[in-house]
Amino acid sequence: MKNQLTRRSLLAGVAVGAATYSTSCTTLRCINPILASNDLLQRMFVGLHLDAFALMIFGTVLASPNPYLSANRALGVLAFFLFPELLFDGAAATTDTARIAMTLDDNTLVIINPENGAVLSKVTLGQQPSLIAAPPNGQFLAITNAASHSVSIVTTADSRLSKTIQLESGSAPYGVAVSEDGKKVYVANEARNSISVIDVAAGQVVATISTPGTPSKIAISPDGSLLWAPTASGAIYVIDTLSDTVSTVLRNVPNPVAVAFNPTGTRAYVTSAPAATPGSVVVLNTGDYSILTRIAVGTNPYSIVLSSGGTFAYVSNFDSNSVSVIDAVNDQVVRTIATGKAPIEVAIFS
Amino acid sequence: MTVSGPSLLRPSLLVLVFTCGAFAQPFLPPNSILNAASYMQPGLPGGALAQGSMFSIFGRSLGPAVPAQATAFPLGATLQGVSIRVTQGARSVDVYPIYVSATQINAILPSNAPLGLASLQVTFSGARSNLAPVRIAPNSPGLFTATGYGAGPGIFQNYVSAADQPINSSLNSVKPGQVVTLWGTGLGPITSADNVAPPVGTLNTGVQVFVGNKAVTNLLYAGRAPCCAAVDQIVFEIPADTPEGCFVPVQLRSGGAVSNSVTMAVRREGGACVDSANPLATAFAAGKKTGLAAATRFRMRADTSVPTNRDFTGDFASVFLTQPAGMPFSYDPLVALPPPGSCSTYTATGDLLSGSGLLRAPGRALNAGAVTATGGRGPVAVNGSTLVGVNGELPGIANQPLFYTTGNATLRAAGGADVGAFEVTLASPAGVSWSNRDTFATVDRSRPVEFRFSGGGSRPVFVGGIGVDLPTNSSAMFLCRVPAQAESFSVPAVMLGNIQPTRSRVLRSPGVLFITLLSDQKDLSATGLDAGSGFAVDIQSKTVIFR
Repeated sequence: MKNQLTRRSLLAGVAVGAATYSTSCTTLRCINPILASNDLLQRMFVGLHLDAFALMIFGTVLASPNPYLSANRALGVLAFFLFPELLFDGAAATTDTARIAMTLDDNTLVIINPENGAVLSKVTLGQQPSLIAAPPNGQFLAITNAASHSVSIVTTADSRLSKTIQLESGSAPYGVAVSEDGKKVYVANEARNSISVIDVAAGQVVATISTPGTPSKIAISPDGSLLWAPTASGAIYVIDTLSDTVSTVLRNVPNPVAVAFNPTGTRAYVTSAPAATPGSVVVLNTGDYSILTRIAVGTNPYSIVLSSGGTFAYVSNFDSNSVSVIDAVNDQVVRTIATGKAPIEVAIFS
Repeated sequence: MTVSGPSLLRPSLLVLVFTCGAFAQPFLPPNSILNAASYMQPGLPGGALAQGSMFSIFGRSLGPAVPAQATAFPLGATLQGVSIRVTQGARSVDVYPIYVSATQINAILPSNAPLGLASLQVTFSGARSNLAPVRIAPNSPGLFTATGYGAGPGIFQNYVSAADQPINSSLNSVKPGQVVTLWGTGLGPITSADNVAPPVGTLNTGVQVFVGNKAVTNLLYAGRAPCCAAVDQIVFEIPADTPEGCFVPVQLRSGGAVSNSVTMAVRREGGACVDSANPLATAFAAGKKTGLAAATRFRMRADTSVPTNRDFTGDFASVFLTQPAGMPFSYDPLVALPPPGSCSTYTATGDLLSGSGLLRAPGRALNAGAVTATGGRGPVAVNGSTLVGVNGELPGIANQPLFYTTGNATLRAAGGADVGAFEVTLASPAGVSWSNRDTFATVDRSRPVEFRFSGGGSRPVFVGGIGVDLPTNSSAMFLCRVPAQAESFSVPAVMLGNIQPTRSRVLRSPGVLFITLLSDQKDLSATGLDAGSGFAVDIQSKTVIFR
């Protein structure tokens, strides 16, 4: 039938933007400038376990600008964001402010301005402060003190140690994560094969989850519903954060160490560090926990972080003295950056 | 205690590798528990489960290989070995399964289920599933659709007489002023048992219905269907000034919660629908082979939570040829646009700002052979909608020169098994002047959103917005067609009801407003094609924060 459309007739479809209906954009996510813009300049802090820390901008290694930082070993690094109150009176919302938090082997936490490496504040914590976590709103930092078996809570507005929560003697807390709503802190007790659940407001442990096999680094899924706890025994405990009980136990990643998620939580990136062999990043489909792909990286891949847009993943290779940069869209290593000795933690922001 | 370093320095243990292929234990994937009518993504405001509603659970090994369903009242807490429990703290309630199978369960959430976040667990033959989070609200209306997934033609019955209430479809339009019955679930809880035939009576939840943006003023009934537990009937009179069309949008609000959008066919004379403002929709609704070609320029101003303001431009070339399926309930969001002066809403799994698309009802893609576009360069191969030019320093995408630079672009098909060769030449997209673009920084979802612009004239202009929530992998969108010659349009607040408020970390939940102009409409004629159009499309967008 010959169509009889008039010049004033309406079209169907592409009205809403071809980006919505794109079928052939395969890289990046076609056109997502909001997220993509923040992947453009990846500035990276790498905490070096044996040799201070390195500031790198897309592969250009810069020396630590601060002599104080150069004199100490880094034990943990975290990029976090301070969020000024969004203005809802019609004025433009102010942008968030990036900061770097770092634990040092002089038992301190330092807050660093990532723009110039200046130390903004320093807080004395417990013994051997290790890993750091923050809620999405960046209002506080939770730090595990591995040798004094405690957790420190530092408020970011004033860099003040607000409370110290004592754990069971000998716990050796290491990995830490904060719930989506900031009300709970989860701590991996390496020496107790368990996860402590801390009520932040009450300042006390309210639950203990058994995770046999030495949990170490833990992470919460983007929607806040699940805590992932890889263990040295090879099991990954997937914990429901509402009930604080184990939901699933995975055993399909050899020697899992750390996990990170893409922004939508549909993929989990797990560093796999079998002894005496090159390591890899195993990418899991969080819908069914199947393995999507394995990406070869350096030796003893330790920490992993993803860029805000999820387009790049950064892996510290402890024994290769390098950081692998992974194109998370095409699942391949695109760059290997030499660092100082024993890179332990990576923090990125842009 | 000495520094032990990272645990990976310890001797590795024997590695146990467990293949996750066999799920003998029931398994609930993320985001797999949905309102049975709307299938709305759980992370969106309307994605909660309402007390007393019907919902669906998807997963593996959930129930018997041979499906079974409940056939009589009272409903039990167990069906063919399947039971479901919802727990919040120390409190648990049993859910009533009404349909069970290995991959899907339909069930009724009791009206006394605890509000807020809870954990759901399925047990089948003694084996328990993982825990899955659910969000329970007093009201979360969902409207049933003919497509089965919460978008497209709603399940409406046009009331002619008590004995004659045909289903609304593209062949059976409702007339303004006529009474219809709409079917859904999730209006709200009842005070009596949920596992028996429900009581009759309009629920006191403040139900509002909107048809083509017109508020229904004669709501006759909004409550449980007497036949069926957890199923709601909403009976109302179509407003006299409802716009006509094949895909007139309908939304419902109950207790402040907003439903999915569905569509209905409206025509003053009744019978087969006609969409005078969208003849392509008329053809599609009639089951005709339809074609659509577009030269699209997409522009975005990103000034929300970025170090410096950025402007991006992307050029797309698109050709879609389809034979609809599912007559007379064919649906395709590309075609089923709202009539002038009305708005529709859409939800999706994934990121609508990053290439995820809206679900389209099954239809047959027509083969017209190789399709190419020629503009500032070319010919360039086109597959569906193809990015043919980009300016904006997007990592992962090599910069390409913008495509629509020479004044015209031509889309050609070589001819294929279904559709013969065709060619359509379109002008480079040109847009309206969006005068109040830069006044949008934060958008209050509880208030109307007014767009002001000029230069549209009689050409089709659309306004809309998209909100993405990355952590829950979900998106929502509203789209409104502006009346001809208008230079402003106020989007009702109800259309933003299912957009997630922006998170504190803005980048985790990006949002945009946009305005679209369709120009230079051309006929798209080809052997094997019943109806077709080509358009130059200009889309201007701006990032915003939704609160």
